[in-house]
Amino acid sequence: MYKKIVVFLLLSLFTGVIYAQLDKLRAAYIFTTQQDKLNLDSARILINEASVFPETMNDAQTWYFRGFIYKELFKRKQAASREAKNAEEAFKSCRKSIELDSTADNKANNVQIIKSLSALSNNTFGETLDTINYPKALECLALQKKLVKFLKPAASMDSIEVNYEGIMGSYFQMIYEKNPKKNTKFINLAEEAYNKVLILEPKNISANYNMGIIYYNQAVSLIMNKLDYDFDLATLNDIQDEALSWFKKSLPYMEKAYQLNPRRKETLIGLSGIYYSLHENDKSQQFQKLSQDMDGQIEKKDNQKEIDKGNH
Amino acid sequence: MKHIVLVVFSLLFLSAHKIDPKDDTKAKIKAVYLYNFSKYIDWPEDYKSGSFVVTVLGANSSLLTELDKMASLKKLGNQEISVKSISSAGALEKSHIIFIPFENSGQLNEVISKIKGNSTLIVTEKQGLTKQGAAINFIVKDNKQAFELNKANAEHYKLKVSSNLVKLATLIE
Repeated sequence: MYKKIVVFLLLSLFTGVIYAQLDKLRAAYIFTTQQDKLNLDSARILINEASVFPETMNDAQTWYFRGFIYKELFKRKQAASREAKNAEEAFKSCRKSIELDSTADNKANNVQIIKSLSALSNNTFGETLDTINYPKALECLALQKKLVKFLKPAASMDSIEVNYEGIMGSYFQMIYEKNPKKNTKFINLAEEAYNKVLILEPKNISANYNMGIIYYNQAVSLIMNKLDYDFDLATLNDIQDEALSWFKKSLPYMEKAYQLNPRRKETLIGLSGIYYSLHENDKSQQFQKLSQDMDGQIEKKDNQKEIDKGNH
Repeated sequence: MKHIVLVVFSLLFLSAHKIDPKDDTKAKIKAVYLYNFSKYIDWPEDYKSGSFVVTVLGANSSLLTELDKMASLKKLGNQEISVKSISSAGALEKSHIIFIPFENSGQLNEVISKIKGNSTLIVTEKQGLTKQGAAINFIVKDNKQAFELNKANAEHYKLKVSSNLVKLATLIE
């Protein structure tokens, strides 16, 4: 379908008013058709020349076509090699096309391309969220925000950003937890992502909780992995100081998560763990008991369900 | 597939990363302290051969885990470290260090009478026990693990305490 559109548009270009000026482009086009497939690189040269010719530069079709070609350029590579700049060009071209011709048909055609870009960008984000290609995911996230803002002007950008940054933070945190020694940098990326979430949504429970876990685990890692038995008592004291500062940093986030949802079991366990590490045993036990009570309630509910099933 | 990946990460964000209850930082710190005590204290000659025995009164599993790790990694001079757990003071045998956890503090007197003339460092973790015979008592100071030292109680068991250890301790007389 897309190839047909491209061929149609290329033919339009060559049979239209700009025919005389585009001999070189026609040659290029013939070359692409001789290959019996869409040659996007040639098409890009053609359309870029068309987009600066006075006769065609203010034609909405030129920009629509340019948007289409750049979208295809973005799409043609495997996710990890996709170049966001192609998607940016596609998006820019479609907006320009709409600007030049705001009729419903032209708008719908261009919006269709932008929607495709958004789907591609979203998929690329998912496919490149790994330890090697994550910068691509970050790039696509930035692009996706722009696209969604255009496609859904009424939607809250904050909630979209919160969702994506939350996913990123969680992913980076998971990578770090798998191998803290090897993947140190990912904890900073996770922290950065959660911070962005909290700026937009200070009452986000998951981000507060996860920030608490990040700092708690920094302290734990310091003691469990970096504290060697050979360290003298003065060094032990220094390490305790550093760990203490992490535990203290963790506490307000976990407390906030608890305030926002006092019935979340993970938070109760988290608070119990932090207070235990701070040697505040009474508070630690208090939260441990709340967590155990919750287990009891869940068990009771499950038993009641079983009884109800039996009665039916 | 890619949508599944995103959904999984969304759920991960909404659910939670968890703390690992196996990581008992306090136990690790105590284990490092106990190892250091063994370096800063000098036992009589007849305690310098065979295994270096650390006994824990009770089943403090996380501390025992940490001490076992320590024993598998470290030696004290030529001495292998041997970690033992006893359920009551009556079962105490010749040890270099006996650690009495908070919940078993009530057995201090029994431990003292069991040690008699042996050179055993008594380490506790309840306030006031350095005045009742313990040489070292773990305390919490500014949310950190620290320790009190009653030098006389150590010397009573023919243990020589290094001046470096004295400097770092809260001294009790």
